[in-house]
Amino acid sequence: MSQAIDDHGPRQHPALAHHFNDMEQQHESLKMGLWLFLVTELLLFGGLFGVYVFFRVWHPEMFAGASKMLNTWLGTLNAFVLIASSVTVALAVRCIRLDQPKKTVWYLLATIAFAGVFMIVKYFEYTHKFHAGLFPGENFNNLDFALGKVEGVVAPIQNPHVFFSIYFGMTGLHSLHVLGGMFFLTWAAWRTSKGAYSSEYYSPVELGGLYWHFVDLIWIYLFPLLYLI
Amino acid sequence: MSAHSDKHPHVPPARVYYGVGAILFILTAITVVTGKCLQLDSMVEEVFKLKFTGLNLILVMAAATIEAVLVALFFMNLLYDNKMYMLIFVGSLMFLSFFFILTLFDTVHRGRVYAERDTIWTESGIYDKLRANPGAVRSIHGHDDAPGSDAPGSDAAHDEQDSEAEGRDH
Amino acid sequence: MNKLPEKHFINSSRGIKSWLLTMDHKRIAILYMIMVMSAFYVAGIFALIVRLELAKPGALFFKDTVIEKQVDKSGAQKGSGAAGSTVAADEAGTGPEPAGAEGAGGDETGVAVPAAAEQTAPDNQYKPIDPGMSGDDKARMAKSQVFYNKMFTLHGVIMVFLFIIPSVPAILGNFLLPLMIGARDVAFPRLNLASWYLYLIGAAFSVFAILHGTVDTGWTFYAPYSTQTGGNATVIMITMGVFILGFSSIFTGLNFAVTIHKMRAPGIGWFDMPLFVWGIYATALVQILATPVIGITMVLLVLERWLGIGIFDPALGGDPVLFQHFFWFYSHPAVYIMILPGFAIINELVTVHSRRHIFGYKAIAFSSVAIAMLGFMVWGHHMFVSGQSEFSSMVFSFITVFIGIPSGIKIFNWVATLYKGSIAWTTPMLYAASFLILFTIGGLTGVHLGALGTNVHLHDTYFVVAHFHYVMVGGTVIAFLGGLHHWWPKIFGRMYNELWAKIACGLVFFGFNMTFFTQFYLGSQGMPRRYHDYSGMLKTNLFESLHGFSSWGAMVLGLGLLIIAIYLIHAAFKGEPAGDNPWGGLSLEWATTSPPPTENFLVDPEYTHGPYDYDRVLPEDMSSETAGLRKV
Ligand code: HEM
Ligand SMILES: [Cu+2]
Repeated sequence: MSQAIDDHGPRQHPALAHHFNDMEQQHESLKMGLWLFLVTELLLFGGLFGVYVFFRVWHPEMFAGASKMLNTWLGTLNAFVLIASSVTVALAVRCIRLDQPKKTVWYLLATIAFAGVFMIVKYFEYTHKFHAGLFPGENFNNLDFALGKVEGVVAPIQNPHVFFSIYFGMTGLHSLHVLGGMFFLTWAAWRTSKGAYSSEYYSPVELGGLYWHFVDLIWIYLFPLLYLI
Repeated sequence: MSAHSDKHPHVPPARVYYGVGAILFILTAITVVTGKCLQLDSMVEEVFKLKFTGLNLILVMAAATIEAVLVALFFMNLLYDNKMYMLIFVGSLMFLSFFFILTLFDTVHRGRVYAERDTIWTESGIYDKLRANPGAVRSIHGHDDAPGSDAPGSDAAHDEQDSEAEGRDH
Repeated sequence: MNKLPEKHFINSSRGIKSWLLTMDHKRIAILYMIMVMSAFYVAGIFALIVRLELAKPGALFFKDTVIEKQVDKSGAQKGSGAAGSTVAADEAGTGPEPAGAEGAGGDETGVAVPAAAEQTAPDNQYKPIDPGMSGDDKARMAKSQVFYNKMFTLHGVIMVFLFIIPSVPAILGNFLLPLMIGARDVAFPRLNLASWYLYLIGAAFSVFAILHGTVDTGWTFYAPYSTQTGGNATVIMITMGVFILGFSSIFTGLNFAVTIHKMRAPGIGWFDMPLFVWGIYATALVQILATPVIGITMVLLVLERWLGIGIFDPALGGDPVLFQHFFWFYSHPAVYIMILPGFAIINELVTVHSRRHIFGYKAIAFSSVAIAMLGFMVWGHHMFVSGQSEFSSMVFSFITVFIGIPSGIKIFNWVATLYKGSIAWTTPMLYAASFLILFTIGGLTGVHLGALGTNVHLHDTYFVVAHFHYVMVGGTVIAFLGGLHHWWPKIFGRMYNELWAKIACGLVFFGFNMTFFTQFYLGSQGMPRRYHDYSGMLKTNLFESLHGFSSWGAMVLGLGLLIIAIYLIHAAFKGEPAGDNPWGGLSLEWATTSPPPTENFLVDPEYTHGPYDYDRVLPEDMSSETAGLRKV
């Protein structure tokens, strides 16, 4: 009764799901799905960027003052690390398209290593903030701004804890995404090493790569917004 | 090889990725320098006798945007791929901008007609609690509480701010 | 005599596991149907409780409760009662003092006005219930308030997040979308099932909060109530629930958008699809673009409550109006997530049951997309009296007027479609006609509300309640019921009893109008929203008669809905076999068996004619053997 439908013809890739006609359609669908997912991620982060913009326009002096507490050099290091990881993951996708799974695995591993460095640096940044009592919100436990004890900050500024809420909110959500990306890329690297992907079928690698670039894109804006201006 | 890879004829050479990566590194370095070490507004005023505010902001954001565009076009392959994805991405940015712009219409114009409707921005009660119990309060200067040797205030002090901050962070 | 096909998606495999782990979009639709319809009836019961309380002035519940002396223990609860009743007071902006605030007066927690101040209120103001009320009476009053606040919160949250948002897309959309475009399934079947499980988890969070029972913020969760009243754990739970439900909705939308883009059968172009698909497509766009923002809003709300991050709470440097921007940036587009699928259904009902080609295909298709886009720029019309800047109120009011245009285009197109058609007054057609009347009223009153000056008078009165029930119930729910009746024979292969269906449809139509038309008048006379008691107000007598009538209407409406549930469930199991194409439709879902086989079609479907080509194709020529036109 249903032969005509379930049968994809003689030369079908084993990774082709039953409801697609061919690999092309499957790959394109997955890619479009991922792009739409990135749209939702963008709007999710967008809400936080919105909080940043609205509060900054209201209270520029508070932002200028409180951001002095962030360590630019660590932020810069992380920016470089993420850019490097973006390059390696792009190369990984390129290699799998050229049917070089060995190289792909290495590039993916490099990407994951960079991501690890990023997280370690973040860990040191966070603990340093906590030591200084710079907690988000109500738990804020630092009077240096109120007492005017911060160099370069002229007048005592009000409510710096709001800046740290925004800082921890944005970088926290971003770090969660970095972690998620690490897990996904680890899985993709493992599958690649098992020979699951080739130039005929590499959708997971490409999707992981796109997602990773998106994580990098967010940091490209977060870094200057929080650390530099 | 297979029919599939024929449909994606364009696999850019590796040097494209290295090149883009290098540009990104350079742009990031530029943003750090402009963001931290230069006072563009006062420099322009000195040299060209023109008054500007926010030049640093503009330059830094412009550099970040160039970086973002490069990542999207080359790394995310939007340049070679189906233009549908470009539409999706740019379209979503447009909707985000609706959110920002229309909300800003409110937040920047609050209290124009009735001043008492302006936003509340007074020091939060949590600082009173901190003041009441100074023993438990932490400080960026550590426990020895030395505010540093050089006096804050001038432009020069601002330049040294980072090395100061660097010194504090271990 | 019609017969069911031997093998179809319902009997193709058996056992509970084959349902809970299914990847078949048709089975997932049925899973959704069970959960979503249960939510609908449960929330309906809460609505009846609300109507019961309002049937007469004065508190109805806990009137005779014996209050044991427990000043300390009840402190927290009384506090939330006081703050809860100010929900209404504050939102009303220009409204009167809350009649119930006295109930918890003198309580140091919450934001209640000191009792003394209220007692000296001038005589022409609304009087507090009874200045000389005893302590026990006050405690009972507070209990009654808290109860009422909980009831309308539960009603709102369940109806909006658990029923109306998933209703049409997740049930009918899931079932029909692949059929209509000739696909074997949605693009991501696994994700489809995951959405259902996310829905379950989100619902579980909400139900937990409900059982725990201290959420009284209304479905809008406005700060600072949501950061102050109720129990910490429960408000966090329910906001997390909304967050998870949001992701369920996002994944459904994402899935559908990709399906429509990439899975159309060969030969089916964008303008060859039934307009139902266009409606679902526009909905999917809104789901993808708007829902993440409610996600992040809920996260910020949880953080505000948990860590006091100072974004929304003015005591910590935040701005409560900002919460409203965040909330309505999602929730206004969300009203289009609710209504666009309703529009989508009406397209099919008016054409099939009048045997007419749709009038203005492209106008309808593009107006759906236009509504979806414009819907993102008008959210501030919910905030005219919130304290947002006057400038933005003007801008939002201006843009709001435009959103009526695409909706109007659709109404005119449907009427033009029906004109000179051979209308068959089947049950689905009756629902379509009800929709045209009710949605027009709802939409027009929306334009009243969008006008700045009128809005200040009407905001947070029963006029608003009537408006949104006319669009959400008169629009979406009526269309949804019409769609259920239209496709029930396709889903289960069996027909319901037409006579009972028509009786129930009549009861729903009249019950609905009794319930809500009165509320336009109530609102314009100043009856505020979210008050459990209207005794002591200037027009208590008028309010009493109108509210009483409205409550009777609610009973009629409830009876109608009950009858529908009974005969539809009966039909699903025991009804007469309906045949493949009982209404003579021309879109592809009628070119397969009823119920369809697991693979959707017996052979790969072919595009032989447009979905509305009644002028050149006879429905008898549709055949499931060819999955298209019968070859002659
Ligand atoms: C013709 C287009 C429409 C216009 C111009 C319009 C306008 C408005 C306005 C101005 C309000 C705010 C009233 C106030 O709170 O003061 C409002 C409330 C509301 N509208 Fe509409 N509306 C339209 C269509 C719809 C549709 C199609 C739906 C849903 C399917 C809907 C659902 C709601 C809801 C739920 C509320 C109340 C929200 C709350 O405060 O709880 N509206 N509408
Ligand atoms: Cu609205």
